[in-house]
Amino acid sequence: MSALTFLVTRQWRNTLREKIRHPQFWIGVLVVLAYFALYIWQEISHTGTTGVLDNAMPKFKGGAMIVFLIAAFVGLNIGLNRGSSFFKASDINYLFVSPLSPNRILLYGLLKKCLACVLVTLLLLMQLTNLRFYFGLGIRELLILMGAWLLLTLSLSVISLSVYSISSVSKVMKRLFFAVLYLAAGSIIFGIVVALWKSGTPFSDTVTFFNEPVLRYIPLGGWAGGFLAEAMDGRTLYALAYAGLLLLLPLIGLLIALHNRSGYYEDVLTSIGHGYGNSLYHSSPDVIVKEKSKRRRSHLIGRKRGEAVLFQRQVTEQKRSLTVLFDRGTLGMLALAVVLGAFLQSLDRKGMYPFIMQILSVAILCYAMIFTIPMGKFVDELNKPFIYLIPGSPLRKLYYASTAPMIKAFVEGLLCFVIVSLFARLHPAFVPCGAFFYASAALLFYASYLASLKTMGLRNSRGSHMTLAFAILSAVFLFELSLGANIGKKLYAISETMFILDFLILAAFNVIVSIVFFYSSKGILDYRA
Amino acid sequence: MLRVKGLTKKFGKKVANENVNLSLEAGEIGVLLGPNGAGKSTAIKCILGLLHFDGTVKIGGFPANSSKAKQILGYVPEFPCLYDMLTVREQFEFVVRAYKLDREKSRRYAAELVDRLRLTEVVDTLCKDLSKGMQQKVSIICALLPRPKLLLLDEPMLGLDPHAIKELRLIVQDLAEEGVAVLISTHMISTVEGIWGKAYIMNKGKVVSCHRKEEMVGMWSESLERIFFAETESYDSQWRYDEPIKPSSAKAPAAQPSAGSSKKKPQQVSRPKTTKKKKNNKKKK
Repeated sequence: MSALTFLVTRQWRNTLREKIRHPQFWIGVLVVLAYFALYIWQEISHTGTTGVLDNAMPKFKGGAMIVFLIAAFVGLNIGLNRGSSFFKASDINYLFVSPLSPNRILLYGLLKKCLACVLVTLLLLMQLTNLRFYFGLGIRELLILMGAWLLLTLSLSVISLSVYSISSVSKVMKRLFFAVLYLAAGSIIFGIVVALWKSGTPFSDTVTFFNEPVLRYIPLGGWAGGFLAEAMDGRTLYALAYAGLLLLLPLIGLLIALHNRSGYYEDVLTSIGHGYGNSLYHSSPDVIVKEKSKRRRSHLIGRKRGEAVLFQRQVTEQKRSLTVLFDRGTLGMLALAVVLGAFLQSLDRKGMYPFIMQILSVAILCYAMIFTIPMGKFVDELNKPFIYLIPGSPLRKLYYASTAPMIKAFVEGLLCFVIVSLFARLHPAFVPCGAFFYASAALLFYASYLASLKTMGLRNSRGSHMTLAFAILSAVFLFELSLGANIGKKLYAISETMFILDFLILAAFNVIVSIVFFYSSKGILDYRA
Repeated sequence: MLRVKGLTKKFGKKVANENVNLSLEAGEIGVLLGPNGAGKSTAIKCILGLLHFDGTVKIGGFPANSSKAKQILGYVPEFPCLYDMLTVREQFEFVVRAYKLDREKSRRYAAELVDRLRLTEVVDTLCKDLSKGMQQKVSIICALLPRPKLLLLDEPMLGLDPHAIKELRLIVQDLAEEGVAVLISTHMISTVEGIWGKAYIMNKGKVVSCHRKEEMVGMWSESLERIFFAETESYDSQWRYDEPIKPSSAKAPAAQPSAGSSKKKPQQVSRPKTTKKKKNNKKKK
């Protein structure tokens, strides 16, 4: 057995042994088994009634194309930022310095990545029931979907390695790549919007618009969509052509990475965090002078004392990385607000009540926020020693640790509700009230996550914490729904505008519940210390 | 065994190493000293072939980055990142397979090293469950297993207990007697004080001086610590958090890259230590 085969097999074996020892693994296995058992039972006792959508197949293909395009953009963006994810620090220490051939090592990294991609693709199997129920898809279609996704993820992972190799030569080159990526994405979005506008496609048919063959020329995402569409239509030759394109581009990238034999080593080193360049940059005295002057300009560190330094530090960090208000999540939320606005506009034309549109917009945006909220920052704070070491009240420390993301959520909410209100002609007073509710929902999410951390202990996985946090949130929202409905009914009876106050009252409710959660979980700081 | 000529490494416009020249003969123990950010680790990464550089590096006559050079090279990294999901024994076996070593001999050698570094009880433990010091010990054994002709140690003493430090020093001395060239990069000067044969002092990416121990016998600069401070102490030590740095107002002159500079009278580097001792004595009284 070669060294690399030994490495892979032993790691897998040991990982499996470790997993088997933990009950969470068995719970996961039972859930998956139960899922498939239910699926099989449903297939056996099939009554023939399904909820297949009208025009299901074009909708499915269009939806898949949207997902592929977004995945391609996100994958390339991450590739430019972080580079290769093929290797770990241990590979640098023990593989790169060994007499093994760099090409074999790269192949090992690639195969490892392929296996990871296959495993992720297998998760699509969990969507089997939905896809069958709503789109009437069979096993063949599902296999095609998995194939397209696998091809795309594999291509993206190889391309991220080569793009990073080329772009990491200089900062100018990196900026150029970013500019090209964002310009291309912007042009594509602009083109689609203009085409939609000109064709007069109704909102409900927007997804089917993504079946346009011209979109299949877009590299990576478009090709994957093309492969899916052609394969499902039975045009094997065309499908193979798209698959060939998806494989050819990474092959070129791989050749570039192999060009200087071990040329990729340095890229891997830099991407894994051995930022020698950065460490050197910071150690240069001239640069320290510049950094210090920057620090003075920010006027944030040292301004406040006590627990507030947690907030000040986060804001300073975010200010330096230009993400005080806007990050990828915010951009996603703004895009969703536009789509939601267009949807509500179509409802408005059909004479929908404004209060229903207000409830819908708040519910959808708050739900989406759960996926874009920078929870990592809050968790990072708990992983750093400062929050435990700074003297002061635990409650105040937790409050300040979650203030910066809450302010971000408020500003994000303001922007989103302005967009939605403009599209759907909602009352201007709805904007601040909606934003307050949005920010309070963010606070509630942080608080419920903290409660789950306190309940389950810090040693559990992030997935388990998130699951419990979702369960807590669902329970709170269920109660809130009933509370909001009762208060809203009374306010609506006074006037339609007064109904907007309902969101403010519910925001206050969220804040109170959050404080209760923070208070009950404050012991986590003592526990960790 | 090791020849480095004109090694220059740039990260964009930033120069990490500039015209670094090093050489080590078989059986020689060299130390690479320098303050943080002096470029020691970068130089080692270049020697290992992990980074692109200008200049030439030859290991045993073979160019760095060639598989023949890597076959005779052992490396202890700065951060002991092992394969988390391998046991200590499997980690060794992986090295044996990667270097195509004789299994029986390697097994015996590994057992001997495990015993010397007191790792016997954890050989079947997963590397992720080891303490940092133990991981460092495993990392040292992994570097020694292929019986390298050139051993590069990047901050090897970090996280090690006094017993392991003592044992590592003995191992290094034994290896040197067997003809292995050893290059240790460190800023824990005291740990290499008794074993060094050749010292390269680095500052701001350059080798500012090179000293051989035999040339220093009987001179004030016999102490590596004194040499180090004489060569590297500069305005950096005057830096205060609340004041911007003014390189032009440096009090101490920058070190000259000539061997003669070491003969200058050293600064009073030991003064703070004596004051501390006095304070301690007072407390005891």
